[in-house]
Amino acid sequence: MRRKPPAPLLLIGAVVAVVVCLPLIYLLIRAFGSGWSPVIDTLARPRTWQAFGLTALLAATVAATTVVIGVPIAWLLTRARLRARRTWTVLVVLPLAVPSFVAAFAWLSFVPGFSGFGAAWLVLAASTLPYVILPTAAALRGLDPAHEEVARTLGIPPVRAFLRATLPQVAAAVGGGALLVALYVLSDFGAVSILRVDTLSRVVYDSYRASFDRTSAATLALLLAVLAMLVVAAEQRARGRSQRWRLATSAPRQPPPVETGRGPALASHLLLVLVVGIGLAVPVIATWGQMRTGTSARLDVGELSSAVLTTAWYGLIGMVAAVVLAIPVGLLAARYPIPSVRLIERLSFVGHALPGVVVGLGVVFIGIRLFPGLYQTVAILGFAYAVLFVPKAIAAIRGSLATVPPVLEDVARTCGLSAWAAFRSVTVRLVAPGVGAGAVMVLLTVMKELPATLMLRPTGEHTLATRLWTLTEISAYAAAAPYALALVVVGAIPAVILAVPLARGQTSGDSIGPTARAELEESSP
Amino acid sequence: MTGEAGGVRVGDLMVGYGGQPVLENLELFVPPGEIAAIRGSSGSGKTTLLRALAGFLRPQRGTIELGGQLVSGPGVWMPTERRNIGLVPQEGALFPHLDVAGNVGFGLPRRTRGERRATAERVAYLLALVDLPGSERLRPHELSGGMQQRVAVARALAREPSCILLDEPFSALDADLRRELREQVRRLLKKVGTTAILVTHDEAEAREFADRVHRMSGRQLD
Amino acid sequence: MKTVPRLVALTAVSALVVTLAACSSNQSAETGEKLVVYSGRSESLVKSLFDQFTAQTGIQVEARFGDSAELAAQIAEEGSATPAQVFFSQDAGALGALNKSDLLAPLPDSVSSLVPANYRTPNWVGTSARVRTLVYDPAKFPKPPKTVFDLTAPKYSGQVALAPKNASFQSFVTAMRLTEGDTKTREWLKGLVANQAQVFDNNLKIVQAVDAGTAGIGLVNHYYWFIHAKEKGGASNIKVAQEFMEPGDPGTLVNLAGAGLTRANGANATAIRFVEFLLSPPSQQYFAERTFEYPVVSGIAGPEGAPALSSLKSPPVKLDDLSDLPATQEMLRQVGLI
Repeated sequence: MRRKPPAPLLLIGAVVAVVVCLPLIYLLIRAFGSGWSPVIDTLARPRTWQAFGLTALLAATVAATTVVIGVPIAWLLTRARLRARRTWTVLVVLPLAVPSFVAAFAWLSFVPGFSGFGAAWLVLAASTLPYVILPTAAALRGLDPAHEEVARTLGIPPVRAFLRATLPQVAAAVGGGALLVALYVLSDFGAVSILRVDTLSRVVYDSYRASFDRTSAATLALLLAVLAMLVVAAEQRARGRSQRWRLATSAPRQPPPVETGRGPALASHLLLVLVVGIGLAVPVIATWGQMRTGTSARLDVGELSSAVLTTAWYGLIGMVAAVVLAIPVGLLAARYPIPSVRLIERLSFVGHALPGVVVGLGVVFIGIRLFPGLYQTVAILGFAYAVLFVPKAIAAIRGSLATVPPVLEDVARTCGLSAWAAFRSVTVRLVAPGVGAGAVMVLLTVMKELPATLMLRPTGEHTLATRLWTLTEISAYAAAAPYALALVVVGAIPAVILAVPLARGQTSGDSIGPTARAELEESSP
Repeated sequence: MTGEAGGVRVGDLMVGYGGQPVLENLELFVPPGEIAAIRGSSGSGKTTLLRALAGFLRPQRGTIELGGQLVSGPGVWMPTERRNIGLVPQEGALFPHLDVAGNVGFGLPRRTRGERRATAERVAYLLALVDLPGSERLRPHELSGGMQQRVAVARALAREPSCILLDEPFSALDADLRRELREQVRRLLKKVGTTAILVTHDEAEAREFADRVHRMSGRQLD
Repeated sequence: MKTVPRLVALTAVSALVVTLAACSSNQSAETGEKLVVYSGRSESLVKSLFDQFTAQTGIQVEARFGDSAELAAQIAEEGSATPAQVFFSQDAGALGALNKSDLLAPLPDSVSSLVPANYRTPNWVGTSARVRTLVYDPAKFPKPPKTVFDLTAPKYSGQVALAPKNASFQSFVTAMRLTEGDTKTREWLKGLVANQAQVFDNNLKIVQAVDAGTAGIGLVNHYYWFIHAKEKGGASNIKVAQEFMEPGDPGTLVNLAGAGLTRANGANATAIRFVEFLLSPPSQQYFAERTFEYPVVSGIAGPEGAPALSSLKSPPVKLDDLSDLPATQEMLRQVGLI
């Protein structure tokens, strides 16, 4: 099954990895440019290792929380009889549209004194939960429910049947989601700075902002990169184990929704209300409240709408750039998991764990030297977005490709198609929805990006995030609130696009139509 | 546990979705140790009956007795895992993340060392029974379709169920293999003496496999 | 996914791309002289000032707004290729850091002589001044202290709010170290920690916290109180009040926002003219009225309701010494404030 990748593909993949790692090269130059001693000085500070430990702990607890909460929610949305299932599906995905700095700020204004590790944990877990829910629910939907049913006939109670028969089969999807969550937490600056938790990314910012110390900042950012590599490697190992299990199966039948008793139903609704409340309702309501408190709330509709358009435009550029770079790496990772490919994959993920300011400065350093003509145009900005968010696209491409057995391409070739034509007419068609979802995820993330956008955008152009920053910087929170809300609303569009296939996948348990009944009745495809 | 007074007894069963009955006033009796076949075309309700027997669906009315025990009736509802049944689904539905031994021993205890040894012995015995000795470490995707089904049968027999439910278990196989496997499984069930219910749309298969054939007609059995 | 919605989405997206591409292509039609300014001062505060410059001179200002320190880092990474001609900074520290890396060009005397000697260095000038003050809740403390050294008293336990990561706070601590000595400064900082001082990210959050009653007293720059009052619709709508420390107290340190020319690109008449413009009486008045800062050019009135800058005596320290923050940060780290 372990085939050798075609040399050109491997070459392109390697080039992508190097390109995406340019900021890492910048960091090495910056950190070691003036010898080892400043690096050793930075590493000798106890504060560095405190931040390192705290960052690792925060990433681990947030990732664990999103798994523990996200998997049951994914199950509820795909398997249980749930009132207003479609609405809930959209609602739990919507926190993706709330940037973590908006959420953190809103929470702080909602609960005065809201800060510290626990606060950051809550805000980050609530805003990253959809990263676990989406892939897990999709994987559950694709699974044959017969496994769980057989387990039940073998004397295993429902929860344990799920844990033993189903969970291992969706573990790769859960792990992929948890990986994105962990990397998000590593790179996040907005929430941790507002909620005052000294993670590495905050210390990196401090090195720039308070000490003007780029060497120390680079050293700390390299530490973050190391942490990211460890997380990615751990996920790769877990996935490597799970990939052997894959068994080509026919399209699964959709099981009838599971009836829960009144108690569990109440508990599930409570969980959903809590998740949507923390991740969506409180941020939106508190931001709305901000708008009504101050006198700075004069809204320039022209500025707002031009910021909306620029946000969408940059989002599309970042999306295309990230997906184009991700295709060769995703293809290699799904089809040819040899050690060199694993390395390429690992390197491509590093940018995602670095704070935006680090990637921004790295692209400044490299862009102005290699492509002076493109500096501070959307071309270089798009490149920065690709570096930051290519892992999201890679994960989507790899995940979709893994569900398409290469044998289908072999079949197509026996039908007289060239290798490329077979790939295009079979594999590309089959992975399109999954890759599309990854692309939309990138789009959504780019729209919320701030530090790299500030540095690299064409002079004078504004996204919603930069407007928001400009206004909060001078503390005109009431004037900033419409931009925060607009960002949430604009972000809600891709978020809904992500939620729709999931919401549509199954008829609501309450109103089962004749077609659905026939499907239930007749299990043979 | 193949109790003499057992078998399968269904009385006045009604199962429906959204107020529309799929099965109504259904009666069925399968004496202990007998193999029954339920034959019906697509959408006739035979799978619904099987799912009600297994406890995946809750009937609106009527009683179900398995191995002499009332598992479903007025005020009585026993969940699937306590019904002591075996299920052989369409394409086996082997757990892809477990090897053959893990699949067959899925429902057997393995907390203590003693339990693990007993389970391993039981698995080896069952695999010999289905003519797959020594296949413990193989993965489902390394097995042919017929072998997968035999592992599924072994898994269903592992806990000495009072009744085995077979849901079109041979439909995905080619004709020769289907006949061969059908014969092999029938011999096996007779040897173990388990009550069994086969759901199929194939009249010939129903006649060859079962001691008695029931046909779905309307919302009942003939 | 169904085909039809996907088609609709695709069409919508393509239409958007085409529209936006068309929009952005007709922007580069301008000709004539232009000036690239990297501004750490916020767009909302200074954009209209830049527009006035364009109106007066016909020179287009291409302003890139961002965080002062991040822009300084960006100029440093850009090196000799930087497009920036003028760096307009929110604080002295970022200018000092660039100057130390030899990235600023000297200003002509004709420009720097507009500013009193204590508000300039050879390679950059202050353009407006801020004073450290104390904001307090009059309900809790009708008589606020007149020196920051009182803040370690038990009656302020848990009530004092600081932003120790803020450059202006660190400059203030540096001034204290220079005038009062390291030992006394460290003792004072330890006293604050022992007194359970609250730590905030920035000055405005301190003013808000005192106004909200979650803190009783805070160390800030003077204009944050004015900004907060304006945001809330006037001084009568807020609880928090402001007090200037007694003359010569480290708590009354005067700090600067300023501008410098980049060595790579800024030693030319256009850029010099811009710095000159920032020091012209209308611009200086603008700072007093719009950002509530003190003008640095003599003869221009300060913000309304604030004591005159000349009546406030800053501790006797040199600006160049203030930008040297690492020793202060080390001390703040040792006492556990950052």
